[in-house]
Amino acid sequence: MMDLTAVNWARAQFALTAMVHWIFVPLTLGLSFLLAFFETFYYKTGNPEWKKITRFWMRLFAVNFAAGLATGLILEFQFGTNWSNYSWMVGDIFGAPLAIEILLAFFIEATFFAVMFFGWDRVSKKFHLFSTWMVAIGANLSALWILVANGWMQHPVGMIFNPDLGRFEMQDIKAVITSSVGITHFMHATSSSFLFASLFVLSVSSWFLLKKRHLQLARKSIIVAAVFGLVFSGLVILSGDQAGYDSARFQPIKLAAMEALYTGRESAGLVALGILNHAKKPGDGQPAFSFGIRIPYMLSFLANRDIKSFVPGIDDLVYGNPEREIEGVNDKMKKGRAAIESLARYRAAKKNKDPAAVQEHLRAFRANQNNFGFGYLESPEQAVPHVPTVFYSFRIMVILGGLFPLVCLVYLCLAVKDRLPQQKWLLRFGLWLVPLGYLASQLGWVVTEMGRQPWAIQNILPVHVAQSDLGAAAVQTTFFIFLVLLGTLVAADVCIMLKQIKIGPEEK
Amino acid sequence: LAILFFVLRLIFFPNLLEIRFDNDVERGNHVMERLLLQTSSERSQDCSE
Repeated sequence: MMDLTAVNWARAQFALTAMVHWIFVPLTLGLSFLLAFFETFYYKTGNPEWKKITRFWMRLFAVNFAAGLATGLILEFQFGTNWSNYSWMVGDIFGAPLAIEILLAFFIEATFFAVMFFGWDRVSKKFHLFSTWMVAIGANLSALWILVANGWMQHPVGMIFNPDLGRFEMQDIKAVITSSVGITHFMHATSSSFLFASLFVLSVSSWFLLKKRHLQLARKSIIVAAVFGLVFSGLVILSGDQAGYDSARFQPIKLAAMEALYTGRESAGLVALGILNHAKKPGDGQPAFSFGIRIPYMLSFLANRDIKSFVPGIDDLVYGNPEREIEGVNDKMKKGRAAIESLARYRAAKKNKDPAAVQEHLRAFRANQNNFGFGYLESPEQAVPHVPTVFYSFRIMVILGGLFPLVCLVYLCLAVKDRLPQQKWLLRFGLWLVPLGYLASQLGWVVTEMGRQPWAIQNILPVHVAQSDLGAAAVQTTFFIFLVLLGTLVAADVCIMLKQIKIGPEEK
Repeated sequence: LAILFFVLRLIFFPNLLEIRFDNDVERGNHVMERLLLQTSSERSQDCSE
């Protein structure tokens, strides 16, 4: 019997760990490249001020890197314990990118991190610089493989289901690695992480300027970080646009939830600002918004690159729209149940050693296997993600994402003119850039992951089927263990970071 | 920290299929049974019970 409570505890546990892990990861990804740039300036100019800058930010990087590593390990624990069905079914595919990550990227990081952190004045300046660049490249390569794996869950390709072992087997690794969804996720996650690291440097430097300490370090750091942030803001926007386009093709219900679009329309506008009607349910005919401002044609353009195109709404996707040749979830549920039924008969025929029946039921299974997961849904409406969460998370992320490049630009102009120390209001606002950056970054993942509910693997495996055969009490216990452990880790990380910032570049 | 993680992994976060079953065939059979049991009609029956 399925235990919904256990599923929700397991989901909460994974969400908690993933969100804590993502506190450390974006800073690691972005700051690693900023370090590489700082050190490159030192290498090129020989100015010891750049060395001091590099070493200061490197200390903060190291603290953050260690915490990121620890939380990443904890994430891995949960696959075998809470999600053993998932691990079994997709281990062959999901495991491959993760194994490549460990073999390739992690070894690069581990090898060169030691040289970068402990090798000052022990190895040549050139080799040290090379090591710093390799750490940056290695850290971001790690992210590539993890996001390829995540992209596969959003848009599963290149595999076939083995009905004897009950697992998906890799057929085409190239299709998995070059999947547009995985690559776009990687571009969006890394570029937004680079932007976040810039905000972190601006924020800490603002504190130095407010305290009238390390003025040269702060000014130089701000100039480099602001340029870095501005450049990668462009990539954040481009990759975000591509992510929306991918959603329209592979996860249209996620896009419809992001826009709270219940009834599909041609020349659809993008909601710039809106307040949802929270009583709204799919198919009830009520208005979706209490208040909304739209940008005309923009949604059609973003979804299909055509301002007059039709964008399907939640009702079209759930109940079907024959005019637009959109199949409803009800029909997919019938196909999914037929696939599950065929699978049961296939196994019975195998047991009875009836080769004709084996072939017949296998053919029937293959005909419906793309809708396999829909067979586990109890109602068509279960295929709809939680619209308010996705809608508001997306809006807040986009608004903040639009604000950050402007902040970088203002900081850059004032730093170049050396007028930043006088702008107390801006520097005080700058202290908020770290929490605001985290908010935007975390909400991006909320949109990505909540927007694809109820699926662990899109259309194939719902979350509640992916879960282990565990009681709620066991998962609840480990949830609280994680809560204490992760809470302690975050508190320790914040304390150490603040202490290091207060110490400043002087190394004792 | 590494020791703490190792202990946690061992005691609280075992790989369930690894410890409950001896080989891949048994693991596969268990997961398949779970997959075939969890059809929505059976779940509805379970819930009504």
